[in-house]
Amino acid sequence: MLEVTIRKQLPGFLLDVSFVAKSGSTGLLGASGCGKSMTLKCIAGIEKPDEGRIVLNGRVLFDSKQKINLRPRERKVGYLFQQYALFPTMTVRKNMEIVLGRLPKSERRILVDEMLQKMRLIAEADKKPAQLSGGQQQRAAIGRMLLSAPEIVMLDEPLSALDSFLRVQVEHELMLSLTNFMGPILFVSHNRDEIYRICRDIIILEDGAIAAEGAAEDLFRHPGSLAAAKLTGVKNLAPAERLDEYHLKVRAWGITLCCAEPVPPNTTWVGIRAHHIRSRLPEDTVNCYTFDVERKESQPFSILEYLTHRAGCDAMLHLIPGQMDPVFLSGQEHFTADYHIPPERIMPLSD
Amino acid sequence: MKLKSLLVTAVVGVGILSAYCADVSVSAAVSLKECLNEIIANYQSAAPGVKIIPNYDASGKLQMQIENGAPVDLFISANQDKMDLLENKGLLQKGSRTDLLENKVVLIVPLSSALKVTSFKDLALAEFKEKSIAIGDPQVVPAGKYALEILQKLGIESVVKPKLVYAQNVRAVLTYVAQNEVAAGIIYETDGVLFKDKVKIAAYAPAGSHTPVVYPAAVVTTGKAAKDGAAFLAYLKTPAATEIFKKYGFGTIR
Amino acid sequence: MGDATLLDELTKTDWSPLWVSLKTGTCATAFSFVFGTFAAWLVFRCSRKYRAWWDGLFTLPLVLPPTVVGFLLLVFFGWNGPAGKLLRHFGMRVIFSWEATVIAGTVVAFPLVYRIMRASFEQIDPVIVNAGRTLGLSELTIFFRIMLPVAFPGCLAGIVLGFARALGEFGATLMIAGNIPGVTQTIPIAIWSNAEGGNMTAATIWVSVIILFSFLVILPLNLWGGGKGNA
Repeated sequence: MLEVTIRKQLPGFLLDVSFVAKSGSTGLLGASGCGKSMTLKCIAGIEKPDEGRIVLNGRVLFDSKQKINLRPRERKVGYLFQQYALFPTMTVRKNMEIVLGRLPKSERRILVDEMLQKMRLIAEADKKPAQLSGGQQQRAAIGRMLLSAPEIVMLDEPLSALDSFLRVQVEHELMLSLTNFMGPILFVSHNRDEIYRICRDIIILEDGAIAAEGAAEDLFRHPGSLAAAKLTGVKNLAPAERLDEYHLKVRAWGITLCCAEPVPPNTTWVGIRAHHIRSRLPEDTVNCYTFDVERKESQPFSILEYLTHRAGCDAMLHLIPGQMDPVFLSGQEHFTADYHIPPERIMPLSD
Repeated sequence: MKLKSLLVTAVVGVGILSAYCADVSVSAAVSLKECLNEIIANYQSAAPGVKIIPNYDASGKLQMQIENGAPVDLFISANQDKMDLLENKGLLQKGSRTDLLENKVVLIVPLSSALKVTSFKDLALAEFKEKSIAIGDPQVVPAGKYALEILQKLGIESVVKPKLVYAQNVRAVLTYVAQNEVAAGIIYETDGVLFKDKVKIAAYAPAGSHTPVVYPAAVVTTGKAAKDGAAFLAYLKTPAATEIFKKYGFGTIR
Repeated sequence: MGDATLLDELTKTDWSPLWVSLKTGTCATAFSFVFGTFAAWLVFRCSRKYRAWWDGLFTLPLVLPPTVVGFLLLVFFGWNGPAGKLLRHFGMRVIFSWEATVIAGTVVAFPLVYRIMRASFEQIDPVIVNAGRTLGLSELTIFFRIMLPVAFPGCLAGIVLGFARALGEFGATLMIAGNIPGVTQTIPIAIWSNAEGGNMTAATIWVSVIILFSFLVILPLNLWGGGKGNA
């Protein structure tokens, strides 16, 4: 288990986070430059927080008050760098062997062979990193990291540099390689899809502070804050006024919403996912409005509609996914239709 | 008529002016420095209007400067070889060459030296085994050449040669010894006496161990004030000058 | 001298300056490489605050005139200098010894090696150094097995330039090692000494030797290291 409290002044913002990561994968989600990588570096000991405390499995790695600051090599933290950081002048085998320096040669050989096998790199064992593909380099870096017997594994944007085509496969291989790892895994990314797929718990960072955290499912269903909503991909966001326990007035969209659950008192914003809006059905009684609709292609197999209630209002986005065939709308489609916003899908948000 | 007299006046005027503004360039072996400076001061106070500009260095260095065209009026060398070289090149005023002074060669050691040295032959002894001995570079400094002659004559050249440090002139040898960087040095008696607060004379070169140290002097033709140079040379042979030479320990030649 | 043939001159020549220069150059290069690399590593790892000071100190012999370096070495190793006194205690002496030529050569070559190695280290991607640390490798292991191999092309350049500088060193060498034929008379000192003494033939021979020698040493090293990148 990893307990982290870090405060560090960075150019432009203050990194101020505090969280606990248990076994299994925890995602650190946030936009580029929000402090995710810096957090990892502080945990690894490559950077030093101004203040804080980092404890891994009961061992204090850093404590600003007690003036404890272990060197990286004493922390037993596994860090997979975005660029993999394989040692360029050594073969894959040597890259792995050097990590086991303290063991006798025969033992080293056995362990390295095992790892090469596990990472499916036997054929590449005597090649240098420059001769490997991206995926092979990653496996080599993971293998090397695992051989150092870390108590925690941290992955810094491992899929960000890959084409989306390769991403799924590499993601799969990556998680496969880590199946037997018992400790916490910290997965840093700015891509919410990956995080959602891979991580059980998510911590959302924005400008150096934790905007939201919780189990992935909960977070996506009930973001709770504007920042979390944005980061989990809610497209329809507008300032909202709490009229009473169940009603929200949204001036920007020109509508009033009726919610299924009580609206928290500190609600100042509202969010609705683009694909939750639907055409009105006869049995719908609340949250029904007529909109001016403008259609556009969003992606090859989905249509995006811009719904405007009245002139001067902001448009709401309505996504119709799952088209069977590629969408090619002939010209601009423009019409009026009735839509319903399901009360249970309304997300009241605080600042 | 007018032009002619103007011309004559001009020439005479320039002649007088040049006589008054005459800078006499004298190149002399460095051992003569303090001594010659005193003589020059006396000369200039007696004959104002003539300025003597001395240049002191190793004789070989001075000789090469003259060969390369340096404007010199009077040259005083510490040995005949360097003067011969200039004479062979036709750079000396005919008939002006004369032997001026004599000197002796001595062995000096640092004031704080604990070594027992009483003769040049001691240089070959065991106590000098790991030490250095400074002499002038024989190619450039006459004193260095004399030093080698002495070592050869005494039969200790092969033993002493590996320990020799070559210096650029006798004053540099003196400095090395005074600063204890070397265990001993070979220079002229006059230098040893002049700087007896810095070094001590341990021995005198045995008679006949080297070519006699004779300082020839001659008027050099590369300079512009040969006449004044000759005049100064004549002064150096007068009792006023020889008294000062003797004071500093140089032997004078009639 | 004009009548003698070139062959006569060559056979008459005392070849000791060649051996002195070779011995001195090799030793000075080796020492300056070790010290220069170590200094580069120190400054590389030094905190930003002090870096500029250390860098200035280590680069100093490069910008100071050789005679100033010679003077300082003379004061330090001389009879009354701190190092001189200490060595005297053990019956050892540096001034006017062959060891002094190595000291002079090392001191002037050191800043060159230092700067080249430091530049090489700075070109190393810090990520791999940090990766090494998180993997549990000691700083020494990281230095010898990761940093140095990556900086290898820089090493070669450092060695070559250090050697060239040590070989050509004159001013400081003359001041602390003096002109002792066969012992401290390096080729540059031989050139100067002969030129001063009017022996232009000997001076020319040595000048040619140094040019030829420098070329023969530097060319293969550059060709060998050139394929691995520039320095």
